[in-house]
Amino acid sequence: MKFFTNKKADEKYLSFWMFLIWAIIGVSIVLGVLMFYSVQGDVRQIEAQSLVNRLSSCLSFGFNYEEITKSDFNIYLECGLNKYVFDKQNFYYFNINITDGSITSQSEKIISGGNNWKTECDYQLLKKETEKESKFPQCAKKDSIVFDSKTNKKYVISVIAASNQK
Amino acid sequence: MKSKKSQNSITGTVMFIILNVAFFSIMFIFVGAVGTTGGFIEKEYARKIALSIDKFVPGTEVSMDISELYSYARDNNYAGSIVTVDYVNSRVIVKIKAGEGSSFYYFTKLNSGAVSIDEKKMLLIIKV
Repeated sequence: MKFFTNKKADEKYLSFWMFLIWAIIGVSIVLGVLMFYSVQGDVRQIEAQSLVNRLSSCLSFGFNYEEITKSDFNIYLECGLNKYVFDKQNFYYFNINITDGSITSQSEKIISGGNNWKTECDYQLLKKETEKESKFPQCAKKDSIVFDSKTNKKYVISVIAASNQK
Repeated sequence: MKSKKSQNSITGTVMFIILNVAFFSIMFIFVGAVGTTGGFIEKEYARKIALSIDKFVPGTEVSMDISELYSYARDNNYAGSIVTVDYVNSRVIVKIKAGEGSSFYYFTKLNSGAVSIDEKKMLLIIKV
């Protein structure tokens, strides 16, 4: 405390400690602003949600299980997705699981593409919204019940999608 | 002796106030300016455009006001193309100054020429 009280007035204010306080405040503000803009610019959850919605609505419209299970079924072509981005860029992932909804499901079809982030998404979707970790790709999930346009049989389409584009 | 002391005290206080005002002015200017710097604006618009492409269902036509980009480009004396779309790599590139600009990927397969600019109205037209 002697440092502050027993000096001349100008030294009392313009001491090393004063400059240190300014430096701390300055660095904190700069970091705070940069963090604010980086969080604001994180649109991975929105992208994952868009991808989930696109896949879910595309498969649900005029759903035909037989058509989807064909070996030449092209999800990219059917849903208007650019395969090149999913294969070459490490930004996106999707996994579609189609079942008849029963526990002992006889028919099951899995379609996936992009990076394999199944584990990350399973882990993340189990956690609460507030506990999501920013280092992981952000995932979104949508389950929809559809009826086959030919057989009228009930199916459950479960779509999980993720984005890691920052 | 006493008057010298009080003079010192006044000088010190005035210096302290001036330095504080200068410091906090710099901080305020920094906080205000950082969000409007070229890089941030470019990145923000690249994101907005890419998200608009991905959000809407195929067959939708969307128009977006990009007059803000034009005004920033004019301030930076940049006369090149402001928004470019790389249809092969599904990438939106936004530039408001000379340099590489900022880019953002989208996952939708767009037909070549799906994104156009109405320069008179300063609108970006996206045909998803």
